[in-house]
Amino acid sequence: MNTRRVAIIGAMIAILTLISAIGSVNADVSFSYNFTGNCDIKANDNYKGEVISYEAKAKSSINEVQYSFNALGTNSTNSSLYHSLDTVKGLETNSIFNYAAKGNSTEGGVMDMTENIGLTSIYSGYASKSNEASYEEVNAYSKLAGTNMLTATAAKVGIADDPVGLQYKIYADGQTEGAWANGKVSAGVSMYIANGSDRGLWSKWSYEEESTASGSFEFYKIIAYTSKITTP
Amino acid sequence: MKKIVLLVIAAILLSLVTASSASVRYSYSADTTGRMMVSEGYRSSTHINPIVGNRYSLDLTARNSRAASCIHDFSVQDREVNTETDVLYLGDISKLHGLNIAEKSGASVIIEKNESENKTFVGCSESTIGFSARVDSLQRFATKGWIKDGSQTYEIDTRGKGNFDANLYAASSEGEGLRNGTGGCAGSCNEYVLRSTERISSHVGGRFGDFNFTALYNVTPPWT
Repeated sequence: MNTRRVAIIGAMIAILTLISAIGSVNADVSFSYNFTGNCDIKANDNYKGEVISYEAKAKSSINEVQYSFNALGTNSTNSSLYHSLDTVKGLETNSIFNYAAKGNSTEGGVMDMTENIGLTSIYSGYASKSNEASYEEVNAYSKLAGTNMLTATAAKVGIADDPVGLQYKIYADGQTEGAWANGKVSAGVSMYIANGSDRGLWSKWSYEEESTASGSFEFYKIIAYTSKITTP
Repeated sequence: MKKIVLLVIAAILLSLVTASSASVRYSYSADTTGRMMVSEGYRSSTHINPIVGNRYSLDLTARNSRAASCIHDFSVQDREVNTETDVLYLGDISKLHGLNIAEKSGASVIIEKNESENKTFVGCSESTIGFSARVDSLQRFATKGWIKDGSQTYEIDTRGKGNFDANLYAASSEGEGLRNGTGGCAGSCNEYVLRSTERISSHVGGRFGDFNFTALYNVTPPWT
């Protein structure tokens, strides 16, 4: 059995807990599409995967990944939308939305894009003492709206990998080279980790963060969370 | 008054029917300068372990066309489905109506197999991939589809003017069948435990303008 120590990369606080990596790799479902045009654009993609494991009745775990992607662009000119998603190992997605409104004004058109990715893991009975349990939840997201924007995102979640983790990247700029985006962007992450036993909750840790830019901007952000495996 | 011409050329149908599976192959090419209609549907399912289902349909109605064509190949052999479709449409802009097209395919499988004397693996998967459009013109529409044993792929390359929608839905789950006793479990498990579930959906569409769309969809059940 692997013993897992949870460490939050990028944070000043490291929380230790003992959990185990088990569960099967989910189905290989994948798609990629590339859409260019001078028209209204609409896309909506969703994913939910859950791996449940019971071992010797005293041990159990639930790992869940959730993902949603929404993109909307009205009255676009020379715009394009690319999105790929692969579930071979957990979940991996990439998107590029290159949007310009007719006349570069909200009267001509507007774009709106939201993306959310979340990881939840619950373990019980895998620590040194069988009556201990842990819970970890991580959610990363971005929201964009504007009249002229090139945005690229990448998300990756592994629930059967070693280490288990979530990574999310976002970049937003103007549609043409050297130009800034016109609109508003916000991207953030929330984390919650708790450990306890049948004697009660003995540690909990939460973290929330969001960055926002509006007007004309260039925006780049990376979010990473890792549960690192160590040998007991 | 414009003539309505419907030409369906070269239809080859080979059918080798056995108790368990059939082999079907046909292809056609149709050209028109008026109205053209195509409607076909295929559905099959086995009734033994594993239970495998295949679905495919193509519906096309072209009105007031200055030029329209549909070239289509369809084959089924050993429960493996292969399709290829090419459609072109140029409408008469002085008149209403245009081209409506919908191509849809689906795959499903339910399987149960022994893992040990008192435990079986149970898995099920289903998926549907579809594309539909209502357009004034379709300069390019080329698709390739494949379905076998619960897996499927669909590749599309299209360019036109009007509205279109592309959709994917897939769901799968795995579990264990357990028997509290001795002997094999298949078909006589008295306890089932869910091991994993997965659900995915995708929709992308364009409205009121020119579009150029390419996509590749793939669904493979986790246990294959």
